[in-house]
Amino acid sequence: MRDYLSLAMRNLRHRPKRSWLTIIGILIGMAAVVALVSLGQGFQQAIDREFEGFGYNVVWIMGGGSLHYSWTSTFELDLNSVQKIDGVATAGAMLWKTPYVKTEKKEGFLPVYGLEPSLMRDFSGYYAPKAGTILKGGETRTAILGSDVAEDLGLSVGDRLIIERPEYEFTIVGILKERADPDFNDSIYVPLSVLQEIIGETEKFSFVLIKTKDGYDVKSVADRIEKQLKDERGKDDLNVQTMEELRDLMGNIIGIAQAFLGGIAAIALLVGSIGVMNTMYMAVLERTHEIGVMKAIGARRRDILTLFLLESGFMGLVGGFLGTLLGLGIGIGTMLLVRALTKEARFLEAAISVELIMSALVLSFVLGAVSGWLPARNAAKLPPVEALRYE
Amino acid sequence: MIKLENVRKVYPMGDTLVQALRGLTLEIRKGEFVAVMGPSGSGKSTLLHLLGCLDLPSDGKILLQDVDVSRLAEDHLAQVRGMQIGFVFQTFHLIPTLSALENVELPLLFQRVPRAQRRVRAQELLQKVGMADRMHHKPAQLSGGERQRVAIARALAADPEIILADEPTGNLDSASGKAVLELLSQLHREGKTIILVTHNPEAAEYADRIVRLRDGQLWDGGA
Repeated sequence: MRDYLSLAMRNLRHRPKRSWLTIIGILIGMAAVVALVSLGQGFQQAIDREFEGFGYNVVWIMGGGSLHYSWTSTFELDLNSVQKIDGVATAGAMLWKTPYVKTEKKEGFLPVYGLEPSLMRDFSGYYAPKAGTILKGGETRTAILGSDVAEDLGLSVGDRLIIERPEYEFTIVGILKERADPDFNDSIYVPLSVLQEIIGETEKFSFVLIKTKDGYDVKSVADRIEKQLKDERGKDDLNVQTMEELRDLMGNIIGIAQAFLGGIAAIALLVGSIGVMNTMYMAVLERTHEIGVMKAIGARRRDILTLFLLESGFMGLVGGFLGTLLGLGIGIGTMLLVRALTKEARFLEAAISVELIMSALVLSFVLGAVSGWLPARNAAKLPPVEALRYE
Repeated sequence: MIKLENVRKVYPMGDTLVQALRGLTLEIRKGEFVAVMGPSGSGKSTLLHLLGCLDLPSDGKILLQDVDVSRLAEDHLAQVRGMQIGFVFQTFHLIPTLSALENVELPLLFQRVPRAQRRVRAQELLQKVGMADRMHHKPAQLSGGERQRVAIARALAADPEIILADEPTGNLDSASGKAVLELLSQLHREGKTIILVTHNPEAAEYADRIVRLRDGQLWDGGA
């Protein structure tokens, strides 16, 4: 096999320009595929990490209805009755608003979450402080900042800010560690009741987060909650979803985008493969006489087939290897570039895995060999006399 | 050694069928040096292709060391070519990308002979044909006579019983041609069966026996 490989390499080196052009065809296709898969996987991983931060034993309640949800609508809900549903461990509410916020240097409309203080404790894996502390319960005029908003406003622990209107002054007691979700980092977190008071929407929530008890099936708890809420309220104005359903929803959207972009990349790869096939057909035609000679001195069909398949497979492999390097480069480059331009793109990351690299290499060799298959079979089947006569 | 019994070969050419061999019967003994002569179109090349197992007859039998090769499948034929027959062509037919040494090694590669063994054998053979000092040259860097000597070394690589030479001096000047014929003679003395297809009466003189073909049949030369 080593000898066949060295023969194949020699033939490739014998026509370097054509070999490289063919390799570039595969390279471009493979780079596109690898870059997209790498970014797609990275994106998926970043999203998975966000959801894992919350944990999957969580049920969300939002406004809207069973068939759609609304981020912005608010609703009233008796948390005590939810808490009594079988399987519910804790229930905490949030209100999301964009009031006018003033600090010493800057002011403007900013996203503010009013949180039931217990919520940060219940989800301490998600709300982790970078400086200071999280809301512990019992506070009123304390605020926690997302890392980006803290940086933008130039605020740190101990500073003050004002939320209007009327003016309520808060002391900043903590700054959260950044997460991939840009909304998380851009928001200000204050106790729920104070925000309700400022906005004038007491008893109103944007979201309710429920942790289920260990040993309970999250989905069936969610179903029970949904049913009970419908019965109690006599209308379908709430959307109840498990964390897993939310993740799958996101995953589906990403999946569709990935399939679309992947399809385009696959076309590039297909064009590259056709390039290999074309080059190999030309090689067989040019070397018809040589094939005749090899057959005359004892080459079997399998020998000829092997030689040509190694040639095309090797072109595929080199193209795939360089394409993988380029693709990872593009992935990482895109990530660094976009992150340098905006803070909002922490979800954009290039995943580099051994599996990705290995499967790219195997795929490229296989593509090369498969594209070379028909030309190589033609070569192997040439009748020796005719091949010898061909000049 | 080699027996042809009533061998026919018909080629389709356009709409007509060309009868290249019309019932040829011929026997070549082991260790013989036979020259095959005849004008163009007499069926010389067809005969050589059939003897070399490069092609199959339309009818009749070809026995090679008592094996009927006229019905063998392609891969068996390849095996016979690889082990029992050495070809020497008019235009040498060396692989241009390989050095002289590698060209001589090539038949052994197809016989799955290990690399080190191949190399030693090829070096010995190049020494034998007087090409030891040029074995790392590519065919393009060699003269016609030198290329033909490399081709003879290649034909000998797998130590075949039979050497088939198709106008081996046709593209050479007379001195190189003579050297090649001397070399074939020497192989004959060493016990190889040599079949030489040629136009050239001087070349044919090296043979024990001359077989003349005309219109696809044996011809006694009008004698």
